[in-house]
Amino acid sequence: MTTILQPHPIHLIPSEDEPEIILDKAKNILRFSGTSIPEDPEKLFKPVMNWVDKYIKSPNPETKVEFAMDYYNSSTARFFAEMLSKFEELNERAGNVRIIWGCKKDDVVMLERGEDLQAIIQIPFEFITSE
Amino acid sequence: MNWFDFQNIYSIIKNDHLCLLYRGDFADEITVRLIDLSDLQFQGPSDRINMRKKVAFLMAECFQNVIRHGEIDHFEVGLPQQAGFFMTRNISGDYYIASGNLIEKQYVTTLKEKIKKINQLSPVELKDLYMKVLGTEQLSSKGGAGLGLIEMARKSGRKLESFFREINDTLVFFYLQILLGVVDNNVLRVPVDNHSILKSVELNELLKQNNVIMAYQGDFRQDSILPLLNMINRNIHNIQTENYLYKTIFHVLVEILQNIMHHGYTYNDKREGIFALAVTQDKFNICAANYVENDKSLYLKEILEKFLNHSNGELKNMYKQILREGPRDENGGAGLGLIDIIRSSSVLPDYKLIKIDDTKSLFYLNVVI
Repeated sequence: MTTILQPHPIHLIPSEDEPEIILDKAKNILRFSGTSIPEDPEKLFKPVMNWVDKYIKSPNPETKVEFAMDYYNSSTARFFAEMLSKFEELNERAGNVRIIWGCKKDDVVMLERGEDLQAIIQIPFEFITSE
Repeated sequence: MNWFDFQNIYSIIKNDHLCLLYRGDFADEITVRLIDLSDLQFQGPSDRINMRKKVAFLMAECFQNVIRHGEIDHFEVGLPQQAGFFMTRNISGDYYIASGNLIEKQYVTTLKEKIKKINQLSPVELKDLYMKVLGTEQLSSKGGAGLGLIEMARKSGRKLESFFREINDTLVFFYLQILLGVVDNNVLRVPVDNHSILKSVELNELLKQNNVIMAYQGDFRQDSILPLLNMINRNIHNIQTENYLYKTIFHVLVEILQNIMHHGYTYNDKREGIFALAVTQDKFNICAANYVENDKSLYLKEILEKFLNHSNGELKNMYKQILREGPRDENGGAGLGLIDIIRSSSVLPDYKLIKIDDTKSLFYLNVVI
């Protein structure tokens, strides 16, 4: 019998320059929020990418990737795109992947960022704006 | 800021290890951040701890000076250009700290006398005066009885420098500068031309002419960028309430400052650069300069020329393409940040790449939002 290695949950505590990241398969939470202007984006996102690689090998029946970012820089944008392309593969293979893009109603910048990602990633996006 | 004035400022501060120039709001949070930023210079041996404490103390005292005596609101008196000024420069381990603010003309004579008197006293006499004032003199309505000045002179061990610029019939802009030197306190040195209070006055004048609220020269690393961003954040919030513009300015700043951090020319483990933020009624202007390796300079010129010759629509498509395909190579986000900067600008950014020597070039970027 093959045992598929389950990815351990990740919970990165937010700071002035790093976002809060929760990746928990058991609780079915995949969430990114806050600000991301890290000094070393590679170091921050490498464990995230590894987690996603493991997750897409044994995903939950439904996958919801949530974003509630206040601000992120261009190097973070590249990582988000690369990460979402992994979920795109999963969606092509198994379906049932959604992206929830949350931002403030008047936050045109974050809304546009979501639309940019939506334009290049073939996964259904839902935009949720709050007051 | 225009290239000419930028060069003028640069020529004064280019050899500073750190230079921080600030005009505007002196709220507590901002002053704390300014001290944090200055504090970053002291990460060396613990024998500098006294100097570190003294610098922090004198900065705080200077802020107090601006706040306490600067109760004349430059907006209220119809002089929006005469914002409070603060400067700190580290020149080879000598720390120059200056402040500037509007005062009423009627106080000038007393103030001049106080400073003159303090400058004539020996350290022992200063201590005696301090104790005397502390014990006997009542606090004036402004909360100061010259104690601040005496304390500054005692901590500095040097003469206080002052300068009074008449603004109109009733108001004067008062500059005060102190020096904390690494050399023996008993040796009085005559400030050379590049560091004298007149240079600080000149710097403030240049900043004022260009509506600069903040300029920084020094090492660009994450822990210096974050306090800068925080201070600017607060300032822009006060000025600009429209979320879109506010976020755009913040984004351009992050990209420019982090670009210097990631791609600037490294010397002595430092990535030195200079940046200035100017604010007018409806425009924000960010300009920055740093050294880049000559190889990177060629690459930079190539992609800048490519991006600058495309319309915003075409840039949007290029942005999406890079976002999708990368690569994330050693040159960073493959220009994503630069595209963002160009797309955010209200006029086409102006840049210069000037070869300095066989290894490095100066990269100057001027962006208006």
